[in-house]
Amino acid sequence: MPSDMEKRTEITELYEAVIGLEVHVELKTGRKIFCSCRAHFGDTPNSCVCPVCLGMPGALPVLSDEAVALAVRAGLALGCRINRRSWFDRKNYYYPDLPKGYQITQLERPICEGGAVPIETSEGKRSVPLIRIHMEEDAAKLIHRGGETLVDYNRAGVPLIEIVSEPAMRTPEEAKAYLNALRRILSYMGVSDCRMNEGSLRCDVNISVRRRGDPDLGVKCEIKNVNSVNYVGRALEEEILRQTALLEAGEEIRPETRRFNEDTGKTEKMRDKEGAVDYRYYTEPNLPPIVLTDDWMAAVTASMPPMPDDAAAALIRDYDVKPDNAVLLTASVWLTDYYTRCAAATPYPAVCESLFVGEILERLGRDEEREYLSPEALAAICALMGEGKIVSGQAKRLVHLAAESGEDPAVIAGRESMLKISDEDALAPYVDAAIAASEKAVADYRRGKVAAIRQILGTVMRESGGRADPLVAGRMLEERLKN
Amino acid sequence: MKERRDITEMTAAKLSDALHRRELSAVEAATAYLSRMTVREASVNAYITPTARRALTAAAAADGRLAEENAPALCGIPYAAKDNLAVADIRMSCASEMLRDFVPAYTAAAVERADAAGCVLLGKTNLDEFAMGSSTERSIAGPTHNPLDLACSAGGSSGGSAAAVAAHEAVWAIGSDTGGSARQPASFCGLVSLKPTYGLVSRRGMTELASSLDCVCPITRTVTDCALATNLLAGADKGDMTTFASDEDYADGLDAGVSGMKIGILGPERLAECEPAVRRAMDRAGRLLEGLGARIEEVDLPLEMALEIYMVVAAAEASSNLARFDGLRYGLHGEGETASEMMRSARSAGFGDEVKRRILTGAYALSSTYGGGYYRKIKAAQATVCRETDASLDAFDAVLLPTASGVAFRLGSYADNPTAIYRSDSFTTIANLTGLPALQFPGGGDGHLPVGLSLMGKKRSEKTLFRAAYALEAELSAFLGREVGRDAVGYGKAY
Repeated sequence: MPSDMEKRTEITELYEAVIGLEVHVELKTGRKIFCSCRAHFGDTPNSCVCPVCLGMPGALPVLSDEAVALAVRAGLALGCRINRRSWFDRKNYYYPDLPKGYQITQLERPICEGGAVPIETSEGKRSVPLIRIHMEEDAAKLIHRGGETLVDYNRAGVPLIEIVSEPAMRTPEEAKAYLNALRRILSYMGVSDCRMNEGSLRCDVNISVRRRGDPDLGVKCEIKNVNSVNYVGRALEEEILRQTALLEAGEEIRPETRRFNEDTGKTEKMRDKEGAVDYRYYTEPNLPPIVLTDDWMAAVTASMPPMPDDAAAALIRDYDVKPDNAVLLTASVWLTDYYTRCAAATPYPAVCESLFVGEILERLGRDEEREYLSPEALAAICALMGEGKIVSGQAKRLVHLAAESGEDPAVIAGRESMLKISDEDALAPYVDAAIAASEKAVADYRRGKVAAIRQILGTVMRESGGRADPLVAGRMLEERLKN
Repeated sequence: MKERRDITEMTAAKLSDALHRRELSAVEAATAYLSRMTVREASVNAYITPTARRALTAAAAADGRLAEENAPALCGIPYAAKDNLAVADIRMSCASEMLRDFVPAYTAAAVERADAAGCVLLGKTNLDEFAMGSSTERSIAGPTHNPLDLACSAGGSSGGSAAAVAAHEAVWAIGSDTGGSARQPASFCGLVSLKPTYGLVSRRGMTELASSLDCVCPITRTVTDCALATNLLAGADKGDMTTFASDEDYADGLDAGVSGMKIGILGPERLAECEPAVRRAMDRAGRLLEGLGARIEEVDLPLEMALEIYMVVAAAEASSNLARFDGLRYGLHGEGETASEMMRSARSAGFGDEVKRRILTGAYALSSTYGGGYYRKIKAAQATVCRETDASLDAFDAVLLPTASGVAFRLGSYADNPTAIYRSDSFTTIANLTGLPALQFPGGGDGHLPVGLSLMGKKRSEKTLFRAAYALEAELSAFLGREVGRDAVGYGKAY
């Protein structure tokens, strides 16, 4: 029996996968697309509803300008052609999550077409082309519990864009890179939270396989609603194995809608795609076409932040930030701005970067755009450390003390006796006590085991509460032990 | 102190004068109408849900406003609203089993505007289920009878609104018109009704039948009243994106006459299927207009094509609009183990035959599997009708055509052949398909019942239509007294 690994290698030599993703992204307008109801994850079920989003008779949709602006912003960020005139269509079908019996979406003329998502994989950099981005309303959320199904209409009418890629990806790695790149761009642009666990970014995967060199596409299956980037990767790997195994066995692949079972790690069939639902599409009569004027487009363009990669490059260029950290610091426009103001306030950017990434980043609230520590206070701490007045462990402590009390870090450092001890007279008692307490290590060192000095220095540091200047203390130890 | 009977004889314009001069109070007016309703309802059945208590509260409030300066023109005027328009906390049944117990929490824009102007809502009026019909017979409340002849239909689907006004159970009423549903009942009951330019009056809160064709319309006894009611209903609404702003005063300059106007008249071959009284009324109206100084010329309109396209578009949009009635959130609750069983059960029991017939037809037309792009072809044909109609209208200020091919038919006439009644929309659907305004007014009678004529015009030409109809109304009043039977309760006395 060949191992899984061997099987996979053999398969990739013979077959290639063709992958396209349909990604639904909730627009971060805070309001629904056709009414003014709140749209926030986690609100009490059915507390954010009105006649419009409940589909009551006579309730008419009113299109949110802000949703259109965010959809266009997404299109501009991804290099799409923006259709200056687009419109909505009705997609008719019956389902308990669909209050009106139809979904208002864009079929014939989406708001954006074309465009691409730049990705980077082990194979290098490339662009994944897009077919379109269209706007639509979300359906309600069905919650299956025991034998019953509950409906939460808070989600009904939440503004969505659907981003449809060309079937241009070939490996699970590319699909994962595509999703990560899309999330990074859309969240930086303020288009969406892109949180897959909360459903603000949802992914349907289309996948077929074919023998390498075959010009025709194979029969595709769709895997619905895979809810993490890793699951997308795993679902694709499983599906590629399943489809190639069928082809190898000479069997036919049936066009199916499948789902990824997170417990078994396998994909399973939901329904056949053949005899697909007839959605009876027609133009939505209650909404006039969306017509984008030059002025409106100019205002949207002017409100766009830079692309996150450009912002990261600026941090690297201006503040010598490490590339990995630059990515972390460009998670949102607000964060980049916060960090830039911190870095600009100190002549010690490296200290600033390590304290910010190590101490501050994880303390920032997910939704709250609230500074943990003011750039001035952080600059004061950077100065104490940069000028050699405190050691790094104390600097880290100081960040949190200053954040909690709001006091001047220099005052705190003085009061809390945090300043570094570099003076030889002041250090002498610690050095001598450590030598006296480390008989074995002293003996080892004197026998030529140089590394033993570290243990003695450790004692100095511990006894001084971390304040001893390790360079001075180390030098003093060497001098004393030489004799 | 006026007699109650005198109060209910007054037009909106006259009652408004009396109220503003404080010759009588809004509460007196409302009381007179409410007592009139108790007398007439047993035979007419215009209302599904009367709102007497609400009316008296509103009337008292209107009296408060009338005591101050600058009360709105129609402050204190009693009116009725078709039961497919939502009024908060009052049942809206749409005459359907599906919504028998449905109480909306919101109010239609048209009713909001009428209420804000101090009008006093007397009740919700009868209609054909979900406004699908031309006779107001298919209702959970039973048929509405034509007040001019109780054996006849009041027309439909806004038959309840028209009957209420004709029976003097309301000064005016709000109806809706998707293919003639306000104009045809107004014609059958000898009343005036404007199907406005699409977008002039907000549809918010009106239960949609065919969203691209639906219009909310006033139904009144006179042209002046219709212009006053249009003033009240017209204008942009942020809640209906298909509306546009209008600051016209439609009641201003009504008496400017038709001298110099060029009016097209539908040619005689188009009237072949009409009753003789209709042809006579058309002919006479043409001559009267000419006598008043208008230039008259024969014109043709793509009426046949419009009717056929209308039936498909209306059914297609209805099939989608009525999909929301699945019994899961409100309305008739369906039984079943699964959601789709529950929906099927609610929709099977909740909808009547005509509604089901149109949903099936509409779903078929929209279907890509069965209809095969049928709907796309229909929309292209609709564009052709619009182009041809615009071309026909181009040289004219307005076009005169019948509203219906005859006078009110007897109730039950179409019981055995339910689709034959679609023909009664022959002259009206073109205005809905093209979005153009059309004004129905009484044009004569057959010796017993009234005949209705319509003036159709270019987009937003309502003022012109009002002017021409006003001129004709004055000329026609003498004929109307002779040609419409004496049984006709209160008919003609408004003039």
